[in-house]
Amino acid sequence: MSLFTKFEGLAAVGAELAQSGTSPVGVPMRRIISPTRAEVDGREVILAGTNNYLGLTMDRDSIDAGHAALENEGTGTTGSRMANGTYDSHLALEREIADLYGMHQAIVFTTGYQSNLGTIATLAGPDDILIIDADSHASIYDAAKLSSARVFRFRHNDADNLAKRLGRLGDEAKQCLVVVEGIYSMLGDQAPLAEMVAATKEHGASLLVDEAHSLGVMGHRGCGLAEELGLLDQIDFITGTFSKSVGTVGGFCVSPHPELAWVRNAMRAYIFTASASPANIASSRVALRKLRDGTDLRDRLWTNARRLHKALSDMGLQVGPQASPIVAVMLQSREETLNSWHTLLDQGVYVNLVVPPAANLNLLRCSVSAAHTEADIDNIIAAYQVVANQLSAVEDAEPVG
Amino acid sequence: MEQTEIEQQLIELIKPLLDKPTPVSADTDLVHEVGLPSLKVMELIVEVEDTYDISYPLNQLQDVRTVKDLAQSVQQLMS
Repeated sequence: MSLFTKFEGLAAVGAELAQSGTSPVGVPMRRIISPTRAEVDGREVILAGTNNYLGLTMDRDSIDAGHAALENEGTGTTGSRMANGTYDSHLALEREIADLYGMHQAIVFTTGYQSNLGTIATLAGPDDILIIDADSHASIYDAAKLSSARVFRFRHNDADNLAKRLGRLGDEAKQCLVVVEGIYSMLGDQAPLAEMVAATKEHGASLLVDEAHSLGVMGHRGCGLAEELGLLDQIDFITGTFSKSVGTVGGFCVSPHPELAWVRNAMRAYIFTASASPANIASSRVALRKLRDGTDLRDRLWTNARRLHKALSDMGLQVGPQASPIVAVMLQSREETLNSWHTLLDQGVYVNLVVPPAANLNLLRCSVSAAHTEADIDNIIAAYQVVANQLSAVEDAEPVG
Repeated sequence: MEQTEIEQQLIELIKPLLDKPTPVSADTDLVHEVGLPSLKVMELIVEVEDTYDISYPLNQLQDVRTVKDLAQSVQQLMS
């Protein structure tokens, strides 16, 4: 027995994945060609698992702004936002995010993960209650662990189940923060936000929506699901990340409550870490403007998403419940999922492999981009057709009963 | 409700979550003996909440090792 003993199971899974050839875990991207192309394992592949929803990672203006900041302000801030790490550009970005949402306060964090960790773990203190969706992202679970609040879960996307938990709390519900996501990262399904808002309001609780995967993807200005449904004025806190549709690194919390300003310097994930580099902030500011004005990008993204979702569903593959830029195919076993992942890579398409213990599902998780061309989507569909044929061949070969 | 009655009901809730049929008693260690992974423990808690109409704080799970521990905490939450 040693400190490492408990990792033996995880190491065995890693070894099994590596044995199959190119390991899907941390697959090296040798050369980045474009937002949708890279060299993997000696060949050029279509990137269909990068969360680069608007394709902004290679936006010329965003790159130029980053270059200029790198030249003028240096490679890093070498300090916390609370000490020497707040530059004018960090404050400008916060103002721009607050304006985008039409809200009072915004706080910028160094990563999206830290946005949830800082906001959720700090808002919900020892006398408070956190209620989270069962399918929440790891950053929300980690925040719950770090928070000293009492933590309850409700069944995924089940507003009645949430209402039941709030009802049991009685008057304590006013001390409760409910956390949901706009689009869920694994299956691409959306929160029934109007029902969640109604349940939360009825019991006097507060609602936080993590729009990590819906920022830039939904709503006229790209604010996310709450904007799309006309519910922005009903939400207490919105968190988001720059590492998906914005194409950089960082995250934020935005709120109509001026009191969020009091919370800022109590957030350990904000205080005890260096602030984002000037280049990163400069690129994020430009990309956020492109995101706000990018209704054409959103149109292209959704055209691609709907087309791929329908094609895979028509093939008989088990896809997520609704069309979304995340198109996930659910499979039966780890072996089947791994084999299918390799088939896709052999066909020149990179997607994400998701197997337990990362999630309680075996998934081929694809994310489409506005930067994918029609021909790219054709190629992705053709690659999945090879997978579907293989799967049905195996099914036919299996003895009945 | 008696604690032993809750224990028996919990055992019935746990059985379908196991990968292979394993004997479960009140003293069975849920993680170390029957290898219930954390995701399955989460599923179990949702089942427990619906069965007894309680809200079970996830923080309380760290003190739970056996079926008996779980039954005890469920009984406390029901009172």
